[in-house]
Amino acid sequence: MAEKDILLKVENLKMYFPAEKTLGGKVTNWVKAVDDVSFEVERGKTFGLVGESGCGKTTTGKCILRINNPTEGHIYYNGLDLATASRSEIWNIRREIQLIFQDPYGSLDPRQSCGDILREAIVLGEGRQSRKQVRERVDELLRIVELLPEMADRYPHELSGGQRQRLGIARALACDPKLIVCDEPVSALDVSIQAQVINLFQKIQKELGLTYVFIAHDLAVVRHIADTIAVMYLGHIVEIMDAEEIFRNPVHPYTQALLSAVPITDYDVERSRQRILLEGEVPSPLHAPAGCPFNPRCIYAKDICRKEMPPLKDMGDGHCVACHVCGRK
Amino acid sequence: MGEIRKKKSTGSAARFFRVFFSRGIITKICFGILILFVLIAVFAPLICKLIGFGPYEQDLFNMLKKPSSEHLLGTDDIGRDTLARLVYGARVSLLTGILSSVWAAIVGILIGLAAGYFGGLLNTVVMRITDAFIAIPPIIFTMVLSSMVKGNLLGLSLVIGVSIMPSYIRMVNGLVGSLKENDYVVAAKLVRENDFIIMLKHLLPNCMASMIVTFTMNVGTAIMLESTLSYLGVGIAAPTPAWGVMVSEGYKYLVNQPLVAILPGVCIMLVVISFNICGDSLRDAMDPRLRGKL
Ligand SMILES: Nc1ncnc2c1ncn2[C@@H]1O[C@H](COP(=O)(O)OP(=O)(O)OP(=O)(O)O)[C@@H](O)[C@H]1O
Ligand code: SF4
Ligand SMILES: [Mg+2]
Repeated sequence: MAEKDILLKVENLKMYFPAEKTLGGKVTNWVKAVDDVSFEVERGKTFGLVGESGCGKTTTGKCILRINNPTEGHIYYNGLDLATASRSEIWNIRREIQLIFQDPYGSLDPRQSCGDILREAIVLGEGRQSRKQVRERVDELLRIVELLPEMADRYPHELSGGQRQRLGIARALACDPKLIVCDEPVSALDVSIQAQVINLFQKIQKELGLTYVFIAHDLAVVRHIADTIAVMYLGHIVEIMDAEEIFRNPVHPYTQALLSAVPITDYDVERSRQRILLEGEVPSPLHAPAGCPFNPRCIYAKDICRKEMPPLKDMGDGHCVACHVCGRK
Repeated sequence: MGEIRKKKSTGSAARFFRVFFSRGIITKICFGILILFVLIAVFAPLICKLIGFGPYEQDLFNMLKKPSSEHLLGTDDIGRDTLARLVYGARVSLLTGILSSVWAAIVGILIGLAAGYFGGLLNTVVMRITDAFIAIPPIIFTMVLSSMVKGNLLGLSLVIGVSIMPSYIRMVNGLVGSLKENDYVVAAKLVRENDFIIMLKHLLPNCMASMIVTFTMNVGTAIMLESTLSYLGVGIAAPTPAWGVMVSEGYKYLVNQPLVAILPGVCIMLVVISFNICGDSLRDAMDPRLRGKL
């Protein structure tokens, strides 16, 4: 196999938030939002990160952007360790990594017109640009995200949800990014619009050769766009595999449960397949269970699951699973 | 292109006023009152020329007189024309009120913005000091300090400005504290906007609507404070026709000639209330989400 061209490599990333403090300011309990997460993202590919609400997807994304300062671990981007990089090193690559927000409205300043939002992002780029160049760039960006040039004069509250998200994408593109972290970019949109926006993401990736870290809470969204999918549960990655593989051969019980929530259009398959319904709630990361984080809800749970944390084991072909029982074939 | 832009801006101005006046007749009246008082203040010398008396001119044959064709609103105990003094009083009151609110706003907003945005120790220190300030009743605070400025309008406006500054600090601080959590601030950082610009371009404009309300209401408060101080004899010094001074001089003759004290009192009330109501309507009009809806 040819050497992979890795753009982003996350190693043992941990992000703990202080949850309880004594009067003296000593932290007695932590929210382990991200706990020992490792993955690689190939240049030009899409890495899907899936998991239920609160499992630490956004926190992982924010660590990559250094909006959060990771507690531990490394994030190598083009050889630079973002986790330990200095402010000025971050400043240099700031515009290369962009974020598309979950809430398209909250990420747009309500007092700026769409044109202003884009202009602001453009003029802060390298080199001086004339007014004409900036205007042309605004038009170009609007065209790329399939918005009409007239939109430049509108305000965010005058746009529909899908249009707002397109504008958010245009702003990110204005920085000439190499890597875009898309934090559930379509979950706030209508189902009919979701597909359009996902297609747009794909089109842009093809045109500009971008790399995505694509966060979503259900598999139906990432199955179309991701090349590799990682399933997260309570701050841990429980399974990583090729996107094809996840529908053919999901191994981890949690992945299987997530998958059975995805509708399948083929009637026969739909009827014959076994549905796994998840019982109970996701435990709060404050009181994470000992051993495998999934054990209170897992139908295969054994004694060892309640004592030991299962490591992420490679089952061949880069398909990694963290499970005491199911990984062993 | 230029023409289109022009048309658009007049369109949004029209929308602005439509929302501004959408609260009904009360806003219109209050707005009218403010305009009237501003005009009176600006054209005070002209008006006095028209009525034929200056604010200091004593007509010793007509003391404590009822309104007549000569003195439209009567005279005070030493024969000065009440109307002329009211007209100049508008100048004093509006000037002190607006000046002190401007000082307070400029300094208070900058302090609150920086403290709220950077947070941490700076924020803690600033807010503790502000809380301590707020604990002192403004009237006592200004009384103590105003003895140092000796009836000087500019000095008095500074003193009043300092006393209303904490309200800006607190308000901006609170607003910025929550606004800075918005994703658009994160987005601005990601496109490499620096902290200073983020504060001025994203946070400040989004505080503006509340600031305008606070500002207009504070003009009212400042006028109230100035009048009270002048009434108590520590504000604007006596012969200057401030409304507070007029009330304090006139109330002794409340029985013989009530207009001398009542009219400046009514003026204070009208102006203070009008500022408050216009502040409220301005807030609506400045909100781009309401514009074009009402
Ligand atoms: N700044 C913070 N301080 C304390 N706890 C935090 C902070 N940010 C996130 N958390 C906690 O970390 C956990 C993971 O949050 P995160 O936002 O990463 O989840 P998510 O997977 O993105 O969920 P969602 O699908 O709802 O967006 C949550 O329990 C959250 O309460
Ligand atoms: S390790 Fe045990 S509890 Fe965890 S998923 Fe596997 S079987 Fe279930
Ligand atoms: Mg999230």
